[in-house]
Amino acid sequence: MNLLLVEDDAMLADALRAGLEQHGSTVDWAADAAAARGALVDHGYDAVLLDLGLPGSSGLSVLAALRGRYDTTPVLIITARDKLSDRIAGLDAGADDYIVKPFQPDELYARLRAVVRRSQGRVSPVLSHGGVTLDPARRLVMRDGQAVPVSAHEFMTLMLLMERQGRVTTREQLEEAVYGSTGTIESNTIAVYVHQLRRKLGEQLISTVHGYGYRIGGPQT
Amino acid sequence: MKRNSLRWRLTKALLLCIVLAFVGWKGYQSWQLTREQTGFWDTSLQEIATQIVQSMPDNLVLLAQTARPSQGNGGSDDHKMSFQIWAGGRNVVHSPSAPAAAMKPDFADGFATRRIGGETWRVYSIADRERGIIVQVGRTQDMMAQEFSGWVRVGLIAALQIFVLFGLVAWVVIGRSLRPVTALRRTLMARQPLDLTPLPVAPIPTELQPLVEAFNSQLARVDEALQHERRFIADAAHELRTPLAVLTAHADLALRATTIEEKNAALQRLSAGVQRSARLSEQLLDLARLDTATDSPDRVPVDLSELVVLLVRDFETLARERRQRITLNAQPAIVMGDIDQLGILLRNLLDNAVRYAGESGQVAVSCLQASDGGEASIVLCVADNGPGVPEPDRARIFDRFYRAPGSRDRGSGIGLSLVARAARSHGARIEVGDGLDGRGLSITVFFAGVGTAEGGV
Repeated sequence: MNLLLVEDDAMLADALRAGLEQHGSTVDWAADAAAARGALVDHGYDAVLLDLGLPGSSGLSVLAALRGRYDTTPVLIITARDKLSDRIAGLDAGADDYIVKPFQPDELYARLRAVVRRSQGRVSPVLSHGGVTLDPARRLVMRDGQAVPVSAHEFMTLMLLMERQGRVTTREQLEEAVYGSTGTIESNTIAVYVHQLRRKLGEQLISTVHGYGYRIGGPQT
Repeated sequence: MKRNSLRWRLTKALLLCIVLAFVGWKGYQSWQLTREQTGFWDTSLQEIATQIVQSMPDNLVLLAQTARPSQGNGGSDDHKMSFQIWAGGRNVVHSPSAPAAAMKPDFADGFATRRIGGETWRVYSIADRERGIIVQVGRTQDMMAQEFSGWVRVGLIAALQIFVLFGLVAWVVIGRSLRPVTALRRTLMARQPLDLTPLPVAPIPTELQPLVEAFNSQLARVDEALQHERRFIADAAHELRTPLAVLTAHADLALRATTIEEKNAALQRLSAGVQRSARLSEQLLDLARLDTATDSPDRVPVDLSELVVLLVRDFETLARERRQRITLNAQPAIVMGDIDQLGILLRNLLDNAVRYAGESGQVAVSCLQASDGGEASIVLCVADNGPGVPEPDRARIFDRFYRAPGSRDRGSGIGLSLVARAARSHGARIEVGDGLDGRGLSITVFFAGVGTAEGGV
């Protein structure tokens, strides 16, 4: 994997870089927001590891610049800001995942693999079905031209269903897409997201295929 | 500052009262004076006329036939009043200020307002028919106005004197009464920052005593909090140093190890020690955050289930390593709360459960809406099937630095105290019960729900 590491602490950057390279990645290091923005012009990175507490300006500005260019390169935020509200703000700003320092390197590699896997095959053009459109780059969902606020998880659920229009998507596939999950956690959360999406975007949008999963479009719709 | 000064406020209020009383009094007086027939002006005219009539000699009519009209000298110097005495159709006596013609030409008994010689007069005429005497008395409006304004002037001077006197007294009394407060302020300014001895109550006016008492009780609370913090710092120092000592020992072992196996073993323990320190510092930070937070956090509607989902995923790697199974049952559940405090609550609940569930253990997390007794509430429950906590010890698990006896995976003893603190500041109730499969521990937190648009899933 080709990675950009944006981290101002040289000691941590060295350690992360060494670890990531052991896992077979090539890592470019940017120590501040300006260097990161420069590196992210016309780049070929598979993912960005982004620290938020950079000297001078916040890592969120790097993220905003990236997403502002409709660049959907996965971004994993690594930060010492462990407040949940910071984390939600990061995810809402378009980060794919968020990991708080200090973290276990294994945890970082696992999350990184997950965000890259999820991003593969992702299409950046705007997806639409019926009156609902989803803009992956701007993280925007619209219904009949009106923006509809959705949570980061609901967004990812909807995105996978839209990408697989006409085909059934299983709960496992959705969990994988939303969390990069490995089945350690059994939950009803996908059902909750689907319920919320139906409430916000109309009952007809997503149909349940009993025993299999969910589908947008296709034979019955 | 002056605008809010007691002295100024009292002085201003006094002035206002005196002005109002003065205006009111003068208004009442002028009404009393000018009422027709029964007012002071009219009754005095009537009284004087009656007295003049009664004091006239019986043979005035005879005298009048010979005498020329003469000027009387009764009460005319100050031009308060004029009178004419008519007998036998002639004006026999009149005051110097009286007009030549009859003040009331119809000679009918009673009052009248007339214009005589360019001035407005109020006149009264009374006749003694038997003796053939008619007395007319009158005043010009001008005279009445002069007299009235004289009274006003005198009243004003009196009011001003009262005001100055009252103002001075109020000024001095308030100044003297507040002297203990000034002294109190100086005492306070001179105190050491953390001097929490109570202030003396004795020399303070009774009105201000509750203030000092309230301040003292606040000092007592601060003192208690400070003692608590000092105890905590002492405990925390111990808690922080122990894992650091463990780290140092294992790092040292790793450096001295001669075989790669020994080195790996030492490094693994070192890594575990680092994790423990990391978790501890996280919890100490949370503790500092909760302690500095106000008891009424900035409450916004928060979907608790979204926070649960977000945080449960953080424990995935840890759970996988321990071959644990986590089940999550969530419903959209809106509570009013502070996201960060709720995050601390959830993280520590989950951390505690995952830690105590043990190898191959099970953790069940649920966040559901309940509506018992019509009151919508949000019920958050985290249960595990670990060793649990014996019934008698359950009340203590929320105390700082309390650890379940015999637990091998030593927690910091801070986590659940954070849960309790965050729950308290959200007005949430906590219940501790048995965990899964009749063993383990469950902690249930009841939040007041916010009316949601839709039902459950």
